[in-house]
Amino acid sequence: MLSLIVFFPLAVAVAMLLVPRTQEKLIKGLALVGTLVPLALTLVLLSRFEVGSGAIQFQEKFVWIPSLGIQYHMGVDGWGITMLALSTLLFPLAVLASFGYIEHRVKDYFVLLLILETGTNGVFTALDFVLFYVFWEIVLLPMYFLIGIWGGPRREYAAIKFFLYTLIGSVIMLVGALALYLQFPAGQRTFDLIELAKLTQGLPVNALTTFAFFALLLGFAVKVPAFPFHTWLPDAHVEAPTPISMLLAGILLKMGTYAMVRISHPMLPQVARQWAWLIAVVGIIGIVYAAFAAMAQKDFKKVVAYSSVAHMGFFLLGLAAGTPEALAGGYFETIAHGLISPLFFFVVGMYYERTHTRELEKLGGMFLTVPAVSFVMAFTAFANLGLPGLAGFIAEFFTLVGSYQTWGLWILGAGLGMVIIAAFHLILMRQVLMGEKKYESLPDITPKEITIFAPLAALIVLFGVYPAPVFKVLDPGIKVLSALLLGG
Amino acid sequence: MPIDLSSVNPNLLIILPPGVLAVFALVVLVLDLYSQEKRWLAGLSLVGVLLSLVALWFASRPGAVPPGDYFGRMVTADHFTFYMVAVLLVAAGLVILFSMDWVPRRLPKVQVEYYELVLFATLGMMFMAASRDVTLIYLGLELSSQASYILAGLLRNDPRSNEAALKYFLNGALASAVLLFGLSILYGLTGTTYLPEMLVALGQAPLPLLVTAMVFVIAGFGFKVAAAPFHLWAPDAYEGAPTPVSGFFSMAPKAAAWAAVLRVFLEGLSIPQVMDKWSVLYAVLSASSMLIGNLTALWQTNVKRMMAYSSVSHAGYILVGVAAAARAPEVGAGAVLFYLLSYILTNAGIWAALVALENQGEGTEMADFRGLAQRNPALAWSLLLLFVSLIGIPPTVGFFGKFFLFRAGVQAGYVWLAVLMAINSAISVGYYYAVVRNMFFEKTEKPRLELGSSLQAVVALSVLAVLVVGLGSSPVIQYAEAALGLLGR
Repeated sequence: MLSLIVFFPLAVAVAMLLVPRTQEKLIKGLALVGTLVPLALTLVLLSRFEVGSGAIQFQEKFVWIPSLGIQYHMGVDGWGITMLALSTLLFPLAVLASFGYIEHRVKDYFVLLLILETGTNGVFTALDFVLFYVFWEIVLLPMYFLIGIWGGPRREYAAIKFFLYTLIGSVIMLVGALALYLQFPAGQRTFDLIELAKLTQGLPVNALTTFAFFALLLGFAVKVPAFPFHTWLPDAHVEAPTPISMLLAGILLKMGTYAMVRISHPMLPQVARQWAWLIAVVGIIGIVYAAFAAMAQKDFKKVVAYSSVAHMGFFLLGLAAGTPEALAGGYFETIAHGLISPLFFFVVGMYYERTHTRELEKLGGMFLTVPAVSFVMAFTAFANLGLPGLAGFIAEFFTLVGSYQTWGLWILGAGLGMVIIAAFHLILMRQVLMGEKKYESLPDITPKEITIFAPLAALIVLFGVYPAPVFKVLDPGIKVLSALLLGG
Repeated sequence: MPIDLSSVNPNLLIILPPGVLAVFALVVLVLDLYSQEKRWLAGLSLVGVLLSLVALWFASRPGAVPPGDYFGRMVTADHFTFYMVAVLLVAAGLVILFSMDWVPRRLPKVQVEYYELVLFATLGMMFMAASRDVTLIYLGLELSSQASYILAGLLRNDPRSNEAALKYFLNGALASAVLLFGLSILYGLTGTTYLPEMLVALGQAPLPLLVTAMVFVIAGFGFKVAAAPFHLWAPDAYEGAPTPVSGFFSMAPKAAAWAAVLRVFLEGLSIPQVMDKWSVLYAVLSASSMLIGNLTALWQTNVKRMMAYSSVSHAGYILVGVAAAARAPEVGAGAVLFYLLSYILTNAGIWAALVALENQGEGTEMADFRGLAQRNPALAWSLLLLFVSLIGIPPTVGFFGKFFLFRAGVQAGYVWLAVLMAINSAISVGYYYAVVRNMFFEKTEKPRLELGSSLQAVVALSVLAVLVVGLGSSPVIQYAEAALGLLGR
């Protein structure tokens, strides 16, 4: 089942190669099918998922390279299935957002998009490091071309920057993982993430484990992106076409956060404990710095991009704190952000399609011009700044409460960040929504746009009011990780 | 019907693959005199290579030839031999296949000589890989080198080709002399040319002289595999030599030289006193090759020249495995052997594309790749996959090759070298990216680029192999790692 979810998009992509270029309707239909089927299958899995069990579920295990202890091992627990659900939900929405927006080289575009889904779904389900790494890198190339071919004016620069940052991070991460793998005598060596973690947890803290921890963390931190490795993100977002920005913020960043709770921290909690302060500092600096940076931007999309960096800071803060509440809050932040930020990028796209500009100075008075679109914008902005009643609030609240137990009043730094985040959202809304009308008449929201807005908004409200189901799914994993990180 | 070979003398069976190749080489040579139409002789050469592969399959079946030395200890039957000979034959086959359209156009007068030289060079390399006696290793090296010098200068009216041949010859001759000098010191110290006996006798040899010999041997082989700082001949030779010949150089002779390096150092010089010394020397060579190769490649505007520097950097990656083999022989040598195969499979498709451009009367400058995605999308995407394999990104064979090298390096304690290799993989994106950028993001008015059927076959085989051998690397790496295990070390 998991393999089907992962490889179905790839199979559709291969089938799509055989469709002639001119049959655009068929290609678009195939793209929808290729992304909707995994979503349906994931919903089936969710209904069968045994909540409250910490075990790996829906496992698939086959021999791959036995002499090296490499397996084809798939499976999900609470960490994985939530991300898988997020990924399979966002892809059909991104396909929908591409209709009418991507008009040239349609076939190439959707083929790459489908390969991308195979990569992301694979990352969240692979339980063998080599398999994980294969999926991790498969994501790279489609994304490079999706930005590089269909992006804005500086697309080539942005695409190669994204590619290089991620590649350097990930090859060093590979060396780190190998160093851990080779710590054990030949018979015990395994790349199975679960088995390997059991072994590595017993290693002493020394130069080698510290190197391995930071090598892994570097690969993940670039993807998250954590300060100071975040500089590729604003460039990539600004140049990427809207649907790709949605995926980049919604899913690709989560690969890094997921990998931290799945690999670096469970494998080397003893090292993580020693360096928790550093991760917390990086998180807090990320929040404050990115919030200030967002405030200074003149480009709508860059504002949203920096707000992503800020929100990921909350995840890092929660992870560093290690208490159950902080972990739950931090991981919930990734889910909430995975719902809100795609919507926000979509909002930017909606304005852009109407006005052909993203410069905040040229937007204004939008409440009067396009009231429905502007309602969406206001809703999203409030969700993003952490308004109580919406998903973002729950996440940030739990993160701060949980972190207080570990870091005490130092979290005031993050609190300061929250204030700045709120401030720049309000400034943003004033600039875009209020003021003089700058455009006489623009078309208001379309049914397609409502279709993309509705499911995301519904989930944002639902998780804002009633987050319990998500917490229940995550709970067993959080307890285990928290026990490891707090030392027991 | 199963063919029973148990009654056949294994001495004959083990030299059947080179024997078949030699017979075909001679037959083609003779037929050249009597036939007007030359094209079919290329096909015949290819058949020779394929039949040689079949013969190898016969000889390599378990039980057909018991492991050991034959022909007065000159030819060795072990996994190492079988693996390397297969790799070399595959390389030769691919080279002949992608030269078939090019040779009649550019070398109308020496068509058959071209294939002859490729076959004889391959023959020499097969003996290089198949022997544990430095005499035969050296003779094989010379046979393949002599053929290669002539190949480089086949474009007789092109001064660049002449320059390439002369440079290659002068450097190659110097390298051979240096290597021979080192080997002769070893012979003087031990009184034998047979590596296992040399190993036993080395224990009593004075260390300073031994280290001197070792340095000469390393330098000699360093020239042959174009490891920096011994690489200076490579860019000029690659750029000036006829394009399919450059492709051949990047694939086969180097692989054979690597095989000889592994043989000589792991079977002859593997006493503890010197092992650590050559390991460190190779590690230093590795670091310099990676850095010099990659950083210089970034500034190239000619793709052939760029591929030359790229091959210098790949020599650096392979050296990680060689350095590691001193401390973890099976893992290190296995990684090297796997990487050789992966490099050949990947390179074949890239050189086929370069040959295709020349077939259409274009050059091999970076600018000639402009708009290739428009002119032939299938080729452009194939090339992309092959470059991805050279960078070492999954799911390609290049990734698994690098992965095994990483593993060997880290296991042998060369973590710094593994990290350097990781960083260098990222640097290499820079120049492969330049080609990819030209292919996909630039526009062109040029007409569609047509590939002949033989070139299509090479590109398709290359792409397929890059995916299949990568994801199905398990049996290959197992065989490669067992290559040394069988020797009873």
